[in-house]
Amino acid sequence: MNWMPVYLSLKIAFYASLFTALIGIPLGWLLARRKFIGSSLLSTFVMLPMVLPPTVLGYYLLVLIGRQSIIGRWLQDFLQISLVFTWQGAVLAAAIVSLPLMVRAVQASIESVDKNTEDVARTLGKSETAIFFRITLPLAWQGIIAGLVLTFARAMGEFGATLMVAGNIPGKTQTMSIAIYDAVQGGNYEQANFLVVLISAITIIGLLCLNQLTRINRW
Amino acid sequence: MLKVKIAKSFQGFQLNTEWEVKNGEIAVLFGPSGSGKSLSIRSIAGLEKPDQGFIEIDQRLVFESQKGVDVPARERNVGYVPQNYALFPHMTVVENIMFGMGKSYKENGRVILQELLSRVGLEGKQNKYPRQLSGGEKQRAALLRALARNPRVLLLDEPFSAVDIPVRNILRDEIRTFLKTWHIPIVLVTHDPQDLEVMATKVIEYRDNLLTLSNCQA
Repeated sequence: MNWMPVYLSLKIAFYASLFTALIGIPLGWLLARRKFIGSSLLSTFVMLPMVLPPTVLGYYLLVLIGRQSIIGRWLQDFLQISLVFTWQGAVLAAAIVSLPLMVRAVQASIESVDKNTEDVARTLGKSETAIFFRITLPLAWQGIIAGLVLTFARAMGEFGATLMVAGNIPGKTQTMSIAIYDAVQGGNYEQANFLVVLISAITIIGLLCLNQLTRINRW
Repeated sequence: MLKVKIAKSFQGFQLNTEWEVKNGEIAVLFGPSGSGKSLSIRSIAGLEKPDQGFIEIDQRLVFESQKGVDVPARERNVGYVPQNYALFPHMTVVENIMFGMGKSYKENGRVILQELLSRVGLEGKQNKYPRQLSGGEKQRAALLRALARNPRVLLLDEPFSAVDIPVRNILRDEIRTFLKTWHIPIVLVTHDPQDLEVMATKVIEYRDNLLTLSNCQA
């Protein structure tokens, strides 16, 4: 059995989740708690990856970060990074595809936090940062964890955008879902079955854990 | 001493009010819902910004529209208890009350805290979470949390509306007696005439300030 796609998928999903959390949590908070000009535009923009075909997203990404683009050339010249056809490119693709799930989850869970608790904390002398970390985040954590699990699962299953940006290079960018496609195309059903069972098992276990997690509440 | 003179247009309402409360007085803002009572105390706390006017707490100007003074809520040192008490659900009673205390106060604050807890009948409840408390206990915990920092003014929004009617009468007496020992201006918002009768040392009446209504009369 070739375990390389499994390892690659887990690695890519892990970094994509991290990236998505770092961007998605502040973004979700912003959409939930601040009213500003262009907020509905931003909201629409963030949700776009959920409805656009992944291949279209992948194409946009290629145009944006490819070697011919301004960003791509800058990354190449100054940081010696090329994202196209690398696992880092796959991380970017997976992160963008799963970002809406994270932002949605964070926004909904922060909106469910009673604004009065934040107001009281303000009158008790706390800064906005302190309020976020000591009131909002602890009260919204369940929804945020749920968003993270969904993000991870989505990132693990990513196919279209990843294929467009990172390609199908065995041992380098060939993730589980791409390897399954590849195995089936090549008639290697043993490898396909192995990966299909594994990815199903990981997903089911993840969702079971999530179910348990949302039942824990110490207060 | 608390001095308030504010005006604000708000979703079809027009608030225009002027009053003051001395130390030790309990001023009751009395009037129908939607007359801007909550808006007034939220403005004093710094949670809403009036369009015009000024707010002075303990001889300190915290808001002045023309001079552009607008001290943020965290620096106004007011005690604020919203209608639903808004206790932090993930913190115990003690953690809730200690939340606003400074570091130096926390060290010798334990003794004072114990005394306060027993004075309002919350001894033995300090390690309970808010959801384990009755309505009356929640209210007293929220009151202690608001007072723990020695605020310059105490603001209570419909403090008895979330408790059952039989408990309400007992609570009113208790709270009134307890508040008498605090020599700061206290502002209480209500539309319940009972609150007015029992609690008020001063009454400030709010009328329905619907814009459309005043237009009709004009």
